[in-house]
Amino acid sequence: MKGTHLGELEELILLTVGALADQAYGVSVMDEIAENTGRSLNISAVHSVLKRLEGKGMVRSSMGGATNERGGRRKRFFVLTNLGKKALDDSMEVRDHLYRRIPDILFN
Amino acid sequence: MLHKPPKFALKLLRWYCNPAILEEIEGDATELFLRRISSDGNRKAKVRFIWDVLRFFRWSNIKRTTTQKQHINNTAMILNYFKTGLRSLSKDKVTSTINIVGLALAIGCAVTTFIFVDFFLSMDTFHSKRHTTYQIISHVTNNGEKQMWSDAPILLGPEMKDEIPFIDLMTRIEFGSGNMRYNDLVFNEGIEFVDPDYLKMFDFPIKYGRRNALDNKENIFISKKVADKYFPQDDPIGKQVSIKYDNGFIASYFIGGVFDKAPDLASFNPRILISMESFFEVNHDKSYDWSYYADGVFVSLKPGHDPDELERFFPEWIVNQNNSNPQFRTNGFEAMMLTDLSKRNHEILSSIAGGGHPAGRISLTVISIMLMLLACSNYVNIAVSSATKRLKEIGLRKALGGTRKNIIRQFLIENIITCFLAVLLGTFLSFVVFMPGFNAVIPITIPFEFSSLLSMSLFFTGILFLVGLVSGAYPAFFISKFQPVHIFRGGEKFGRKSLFSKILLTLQFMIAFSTIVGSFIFTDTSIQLANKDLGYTPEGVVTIPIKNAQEYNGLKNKALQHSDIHAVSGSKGQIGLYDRLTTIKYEDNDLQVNLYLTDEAYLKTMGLRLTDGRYFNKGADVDKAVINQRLLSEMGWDDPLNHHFIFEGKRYDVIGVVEDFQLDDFYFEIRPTMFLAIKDENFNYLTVKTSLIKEVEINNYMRDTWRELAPDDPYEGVYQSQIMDDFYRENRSNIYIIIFISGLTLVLACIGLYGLIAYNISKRLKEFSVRRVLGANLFSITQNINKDYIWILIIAFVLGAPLGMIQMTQLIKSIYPEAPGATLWPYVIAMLIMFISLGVTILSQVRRVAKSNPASVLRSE
Repeated sequence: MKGTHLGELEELILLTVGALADQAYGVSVMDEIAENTGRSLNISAVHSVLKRLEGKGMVRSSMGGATNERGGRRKRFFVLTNLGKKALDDSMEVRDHLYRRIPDILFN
Repeated sequence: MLHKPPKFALKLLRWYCNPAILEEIEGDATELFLRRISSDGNRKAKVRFIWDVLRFFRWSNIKRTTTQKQHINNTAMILNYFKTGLRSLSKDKVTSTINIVGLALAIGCAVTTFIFVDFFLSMDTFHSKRHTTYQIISHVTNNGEKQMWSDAPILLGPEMKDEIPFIDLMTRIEFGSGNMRYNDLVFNEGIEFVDPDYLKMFDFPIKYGRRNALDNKENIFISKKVADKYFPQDDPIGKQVSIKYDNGFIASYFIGGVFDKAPDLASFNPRILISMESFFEVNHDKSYDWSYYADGVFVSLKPGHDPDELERFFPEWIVNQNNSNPQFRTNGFEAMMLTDLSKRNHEILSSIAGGGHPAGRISLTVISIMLMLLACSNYVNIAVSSATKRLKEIGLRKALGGTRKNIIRQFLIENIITCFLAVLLGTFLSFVVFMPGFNAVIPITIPFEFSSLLSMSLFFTGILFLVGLVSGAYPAFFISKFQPVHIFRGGEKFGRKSLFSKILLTLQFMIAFSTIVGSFIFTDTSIQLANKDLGYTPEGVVTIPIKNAQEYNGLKNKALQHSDIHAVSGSKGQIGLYDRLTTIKYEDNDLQVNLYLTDEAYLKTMGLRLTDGRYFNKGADVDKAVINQRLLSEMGWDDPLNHHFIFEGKRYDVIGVVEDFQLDDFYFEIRPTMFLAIKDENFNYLTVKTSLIKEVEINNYMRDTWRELAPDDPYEGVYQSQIMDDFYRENRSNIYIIIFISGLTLVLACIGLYGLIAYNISKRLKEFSVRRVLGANLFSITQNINKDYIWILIIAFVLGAPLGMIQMTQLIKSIYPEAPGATLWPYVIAMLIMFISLGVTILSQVRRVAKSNPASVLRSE
């Protein structure tokens, strides 16, 4: 199913965008991931994944207001779309479903 | 915020990044940078910022041209450039005219120079066999000096033709002279003895006769000029003429053919062609082995053969030559292309091909490039300052979306329009004025033609774009840099304060001053030379070259009978015509001196002026000598009359010293000279002295006497006062050319200044009006205007005048060794001319200020 398939990094970043609610932009996403998983990504990688996700319709973006931070340059904020949320739901469901089928007896 | 991300990385990012996403990328990168400064330090943060920028260089982030832009209607835009260009040209007619005329003058010179150089570089190209025809040049060591000679052994030609299978044609050329006679017409003529192939090898156009005429040794071929002299009306074919050679041999020939007028591009022309066979008959008393050199040997190769293939045949002949003539050893032969002969004739001794020294071509090229630079810098100056009037247009174009590139393109196109008009006008000027004028002062006539269509189109395209771009680049880039905001706010200031245009102007005037001072020094020297005392009295002296004692005695007796002839004398050698170089010995020193062997009356006849001692006495002074002052000073004698020297083993006592006199024209220095008295024998010149007004009459009398005495020889008497005429003519040509060039430089410099001042004044017209309203008089305003330029002029003069002087003095020294020292006049005149013309230029502008009504100026807008 082309278009809805999510890669591992894509899924991670999509999740982060969802978790950060309306505060998700390049640097904050990068920081969040570093904090939660210990993976340090390059900012350019984050940007390109975000762009790809937007292309798939899973996030949408808008420019923030002008501030004095970072030399007056505005931020681009990302939020989860319905499609994105559904993709995350689907993915969670698949994992959940499969997870629950692991027989407990094997690990006792 | 003290720390900023590295500039170049930021620039790089902005350069490649798609503008739509640039802001967020730049923002994120900067945010990380600022955060890292506090955690990692400045240096590390910068490195990581650069790394980030490099990592952002991804396909998705790179700026791409969108297809949208290409839908802009380019044709309409470019047409609009042309339209505005023409409009702005016609709007300011004075400036446009100045620009176009200035450029056109320089371009006209360039066109003339190009035609001149092109002409000389395409000499001899009318020969159809030019690609396969070569002259055999001899490389010779003569008295330890390496030389290239046009001469080659006379036996080399036939040997080559026999031995080398791929030689198609061969001809030798041997110069000679003789008196040609047809009925009672006798003239001394230059003769070329050639092999019959000459007519097949060279394509000199033929009027009458066939190209195989010389196969018969009875036949000769003559040039149109010779034919017109002897046979003014009729077809001369088959007519019989007799030629008396210098050695007394007389032979008769039939006219086998007549050449038509030689092409302009011929570097050598046939005069009278006689077959080589006849040459051996005429000079039957000499033997011709490998030591005898003919004046030239030419070969044509069969197609498909290379001149290098000749090399392997040469060694044997070189050995032959070296054995027979060890004094004049040939090291090697070189086959030189026919079309290269005229270009390299200055390297080759006694070259057959004419065609001028490359110095003339080079100096003309340098001069026209200088003029071109002057005109271009004028243009740059005026264009930059004239942009003032078009600021609003530029601002508007930019505000409506015109990019800098568009503006640059627009100005370059306008420039090319101006240049195109200038090229048209320049070519016209060159055709109507420069080329005919130039032809009038040089000895040959160069047609207004290009050697090929290709060279012509390359030249014109080249000049159009070169001038267009060189002169247009700076104004275009300068003008396009203005920001619309500044323009509309009225903040742009330039032109008057621009250092660049000041430097250009200074440079321009430096060139102008140095050429003008230089050319005045040259003219001054030339005028002084034209009036310089020759050291003797040529007026009223008629000199007649003679062949033998019989002629001399007969003529002398007749001359003595004439009452108007004051003096008659004979000499071997004649001032200005011929002298012998020889060596005398004094104690242990050898000195090279020029020698005249004369009778006793010669010194007095020629009006040589004694400074010491006496002239020769009749019959008593065979072992005495009269010397000139140069010889005296070389010897360093204090009392010359008590000294003697040894010449050809005999002792000669000095009895008199004469003032230095001009042995030859002013291209040669005065050399140590001596006169020795000899008996009346073997004289080759007869000199008669009369009064200046009787000169012509006496010359005619001598001619008539000659006709009776020696009908077979032409009368060649000359007025002694005219023997320097060639020099004076050339001198005059030089003066004309130099004055013309300096005039042109002056005009260009003034045009430049005029344009610049005109603009600055129109820009400051309001300022001046305010000043006038507030009570300033015209004088203070003039001062105000001049202030900007007077320093430029002074600096330019101080730098330029000595430069011109140094260069010109060196040039004059190398041309005229005996040149009189320059006077102060050149500087004074140059300065006067410059300041008067500049004064007029400036005053014409001041008048404009004076005439304008302050009220109307200030009311406008």
